[in-house]
Amino acid sequence: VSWRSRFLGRPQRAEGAAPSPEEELRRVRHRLERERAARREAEQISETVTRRLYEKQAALELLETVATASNEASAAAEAMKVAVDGVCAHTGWPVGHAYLVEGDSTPVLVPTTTWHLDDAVQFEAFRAKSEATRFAPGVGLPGRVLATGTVAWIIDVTNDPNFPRAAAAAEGGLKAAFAFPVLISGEVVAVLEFFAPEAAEPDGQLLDLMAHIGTQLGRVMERDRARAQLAHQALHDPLTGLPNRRALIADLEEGLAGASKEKQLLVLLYDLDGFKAYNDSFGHAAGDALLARLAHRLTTALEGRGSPYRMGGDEFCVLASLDFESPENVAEHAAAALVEHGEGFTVTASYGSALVPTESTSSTEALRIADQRMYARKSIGSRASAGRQSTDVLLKVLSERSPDLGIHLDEVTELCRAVAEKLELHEDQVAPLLQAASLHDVGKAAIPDEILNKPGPLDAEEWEFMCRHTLIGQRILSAAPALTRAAAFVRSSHERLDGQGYPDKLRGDDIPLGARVISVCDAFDAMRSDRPHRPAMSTEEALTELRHCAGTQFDPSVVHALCAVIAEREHVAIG
Amino acid sequence: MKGIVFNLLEETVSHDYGEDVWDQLLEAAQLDGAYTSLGSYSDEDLMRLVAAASSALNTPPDEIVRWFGRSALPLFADRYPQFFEPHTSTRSFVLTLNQVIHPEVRKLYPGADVPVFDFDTSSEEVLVMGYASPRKMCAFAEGLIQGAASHYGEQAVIEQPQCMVRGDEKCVLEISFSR
Repeated sequence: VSWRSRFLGRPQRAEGAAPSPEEELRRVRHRLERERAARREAEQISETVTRRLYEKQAALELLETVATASNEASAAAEAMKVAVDGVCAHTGWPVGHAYLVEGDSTPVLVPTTTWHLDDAVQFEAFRAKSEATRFAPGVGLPGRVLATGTVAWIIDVTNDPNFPRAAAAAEGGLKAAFAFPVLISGEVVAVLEFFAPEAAEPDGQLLDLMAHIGTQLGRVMERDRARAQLAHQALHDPLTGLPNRRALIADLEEGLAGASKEKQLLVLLYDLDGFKAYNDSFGHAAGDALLARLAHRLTTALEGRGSPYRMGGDEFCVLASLDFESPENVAEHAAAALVEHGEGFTVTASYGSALVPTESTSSTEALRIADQRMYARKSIGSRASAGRQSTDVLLKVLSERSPDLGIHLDEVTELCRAVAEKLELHEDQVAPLLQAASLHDVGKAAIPDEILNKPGPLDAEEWEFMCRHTLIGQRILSAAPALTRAAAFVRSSHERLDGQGYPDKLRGDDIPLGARVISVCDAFDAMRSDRPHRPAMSTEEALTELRHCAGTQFDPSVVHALCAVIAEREHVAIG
Repeated sequence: MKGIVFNLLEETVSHDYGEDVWDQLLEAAQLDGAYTSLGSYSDEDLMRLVAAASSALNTPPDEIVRWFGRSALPLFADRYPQFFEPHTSTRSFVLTLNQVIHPEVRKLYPGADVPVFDFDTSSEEVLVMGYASPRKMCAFAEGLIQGAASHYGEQAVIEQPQCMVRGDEKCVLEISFSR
């Protein structure tokens, strides 16, 4: 007989007398208690499930809120604010804050003004301290997240050895904290942090949820980034990376609004000369590379002076405010950057300028004026070279630097050499001085003959034109890298000690010594030569004039050296 | 009203007066008395039970409700120790009602219509607590606070300069604790 038939086969109820009423009551009570206990347990199970459901639903709602904000927000900052508020509402924590990562090679967390603060007064010290603190990787709560790329939790920040804001947190009564990263394919781009008034153990479930929120926010940040990239592309030239014509027009319009007679804006248009030939000789790829190099040089040259743009083709533009510099200075500086020179080619730039608002109050008008002036200058340049020695040929000569260049000494060069010796200049200084001395008038090649040979005095405009020859001389010499120092001497060879010279109105020691030597020797040689309007002076008369102008026009020590040189020569000649 | 309140009322009445009294109250109030903590029941049910108890014990309804609050508190402490353990004084416990306890109640019983209190903690000696609810059950709050005081080994003296039962806009409880 199996246990089954034994147990189930017979009636359960014990045979014999019915239970007493007391026994019956005891059993009923017992049954009631069992039922009550079962009900309690069922209620408890249900409560646990309800609670879990509630939490799951709350988490989903938070995620949905952040996801919706991430999809609909027009800027990442908006979505970030929704997330900070949402997490505070979800956790009941009173303080939430966002950081953005800046810097590619050495990232650092920069505080934003995106906050959730339940009580602005209570947490003011903490807010101020946070907004004044940047975090390097590993430092403080957000720095940990930046370093690891994962969530972080601090049970009590006031006891944490790596929490620089502990004092401010204690003042606001903040203890527990967590933070999580906003990630774009593994890269931390932002960090959100939250604080509670009580110490709390890490909540794994909560941190999992926060990691999801970080991923959601990453999407909106990524979209923001893509949009910024598109905006950048719309306003920049992909080849050189310079802002393009559209950016120029926008900047010029903006500059026009802020410009005044006292605060002028300079518009410069540059057009490369020799670029077409370069392209034809070396191909478009080489031409593109040249444009990129020139753009880079132009950017460097304009640092702190103005902004470069590429208009397309071989045209560049520069916008500069004339706070500290003369228009010529900026223009020449940029022109000197747009030069490249090598075996069989020379690329230079012609420019035209316009002043805003004195010459024009509209952007199109300003560009038109600059364009016209640029072409006018180009044609002057080519006329002058047709009539005289072609600058191209000269540059070719300079580029190949014939050994004769330094040896071909005219009278000025010879005087300069002797004065340099008297002044005990170092050999390194003497070589560029002699190069500059022999070529100091080369810029006059670009001055029209009508002005150069005009019998009477020059009018203001002609004089201004004349004054440019030092700048042109500098540009020509700059084309040969070996003549860079000589070029600087040529530029300053018509400066005066008292600041009344040209083109930079330099004073005293600001004028390179080489230029001061050339200036004295050149003047002496000029006075000793016959001129259309006067005969040559005697040596004595010329020296007297030099001494007379020492200290105002000329460097007294150079004048003194020249006098000594001449005295020795006369002595030798007499002897 | 949440079922848990009826469950606790049954427990306290049965404990202090016996199960028969609970049966009699249900009969007098003409209620079947099947309450589970998971359900929600009409506020009216509770009012009828209180009225029945009031006439059976010849005691004012407020007094009944106050007694209920005082007696129910140990049962709360038994069921939900996690809310009581972090505190050593009644004042700090009471101050967590809005932020901690009632939010938790909402998690367990979705749709629970819990009251919101406002606190004035500017005085160290007297905690001022505002209460406004259509149920006008300030006496229940008083009883619970007194029960909580006993839990923490304190006495609570509660004055009510304003009371909805007396026609004021809201109830104001001025509570001072002593050991």
